[in-house]
Amino acid sequence: MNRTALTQRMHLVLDGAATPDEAAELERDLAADPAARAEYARLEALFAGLAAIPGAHPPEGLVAAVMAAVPDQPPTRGGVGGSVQLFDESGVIGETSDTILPMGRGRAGSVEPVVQPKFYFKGESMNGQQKRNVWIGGGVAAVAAVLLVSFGMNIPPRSSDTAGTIAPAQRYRADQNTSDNVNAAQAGGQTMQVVPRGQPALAAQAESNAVNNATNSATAKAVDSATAKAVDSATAKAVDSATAKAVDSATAKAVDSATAKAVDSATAKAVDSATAKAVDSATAKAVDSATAKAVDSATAKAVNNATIK
Amino acid sequence: MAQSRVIEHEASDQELLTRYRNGDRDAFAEIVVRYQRPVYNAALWMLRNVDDARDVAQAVFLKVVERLDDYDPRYKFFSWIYRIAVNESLNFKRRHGREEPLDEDAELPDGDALSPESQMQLAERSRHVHQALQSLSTNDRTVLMLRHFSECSYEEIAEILDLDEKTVKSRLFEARHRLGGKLKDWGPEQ
Repeated sequence: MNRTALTQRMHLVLDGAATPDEAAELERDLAADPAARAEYARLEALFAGLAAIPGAHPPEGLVAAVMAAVPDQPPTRGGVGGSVQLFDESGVIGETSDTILPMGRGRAGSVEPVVQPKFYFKGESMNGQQKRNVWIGGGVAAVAAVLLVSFGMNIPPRSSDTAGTIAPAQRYRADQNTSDNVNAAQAGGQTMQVVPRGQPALAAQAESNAVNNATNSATAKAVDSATAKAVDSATAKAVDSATAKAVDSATAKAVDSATAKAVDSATAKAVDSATAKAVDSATAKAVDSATAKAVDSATAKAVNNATIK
Repeated sequence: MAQSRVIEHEASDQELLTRYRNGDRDAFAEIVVRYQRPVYNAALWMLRNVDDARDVAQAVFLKVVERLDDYDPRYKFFSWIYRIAVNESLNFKRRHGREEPLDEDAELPDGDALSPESQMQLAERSRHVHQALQSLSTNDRTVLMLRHFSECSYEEIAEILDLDEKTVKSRLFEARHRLGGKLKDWGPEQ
């Protein structure tokens, strides 16, 4: 077995996918080949490292987020519960209402058939009603065409319109602009608006622009105001929070410090008091003892002396 | 081979899906609870970004709802949902057309049952392997994820990735070879 085949056999065994015969054969190869044993040890370590990689915990709220978007029932190809394709057939009505689709559970479509407009191509047949509609429509279109040619295109021309091309040109000539028609729209002359006389469309446009400017200005002010309020509110909250934290921290420190001092002081007093009491007690005992001894000794001596005498 | 971590639920997956088809929304919520971890981890192994993995995991479950008519109950549900997870992750990568930055928030293994020294060694080994994995290609990470995290068999991997088993073995072999190359300075004796 060549080296690559041997390595593949190692992978199979470590994957638990080798047959008993393959596993036994590998054992024999490993026993006879120190280099193969070293390679197998490295692979074992690699597998152990892969197995030791932990699984990540899914983010909190994943289930809720999914369920918020999940319908009560899965959509089906028949259209119940909604369409499954981005550009599927309409779920409301087809080319005719004969093909109406159900809207959901227990809601079968039942409406009178309605013929929808449709284009017909060469080779397709129409019924009698459709042919009659075509004739009517065609007649109306023909009358409209005659009226359009007669009045709209001025045929034949009237006598007043036969003086040549100058008169019509004069009729449609607009007055020229003067300096009165040129106004600075804004302070600083950043934007100039030209309002020619005799052109109401442009005047309307100017009016529209003014309205837009006013709207934009009002919107900007509203946004500024709202932003300022939001900033103020956030700042106030931040200040309140920081102040509260600082107060809490200072209070905690003061309490700690006072507690420590009180404890120290009480401890010292207790020690002093205990020491003093102990000293007093010891002194008193010593004095009493010494006094008693002295008295006893003096008494004994006096008694002895008296007896001798 | 060790049994897959999710295959044990296979029998009742079908029941839950049937109940959902009949209008029981809670049944689908149970499916989401059951599969959120493997689906999220599959996306995380492939995309290496927690936010992207979360988005893809959501998309996977919605795709399951959308495509439930396509699911053939003769096959394992977990194979089907894994396949959707792999495809959604690949589509996400294609749509965004970028190589995601490495996610440094690697979790260390839970080795409570081991001695402190063994826990440290295991954690260190896991960290090395995880770092090396991050530098592999998406294809390598995908096949290694299916085998070593999801504990899928060769047959299951072949079903999920729509490959034949021979190709699966070859891809696993190559992926481990490349992973070993990344870890050549690290070995069991260290």
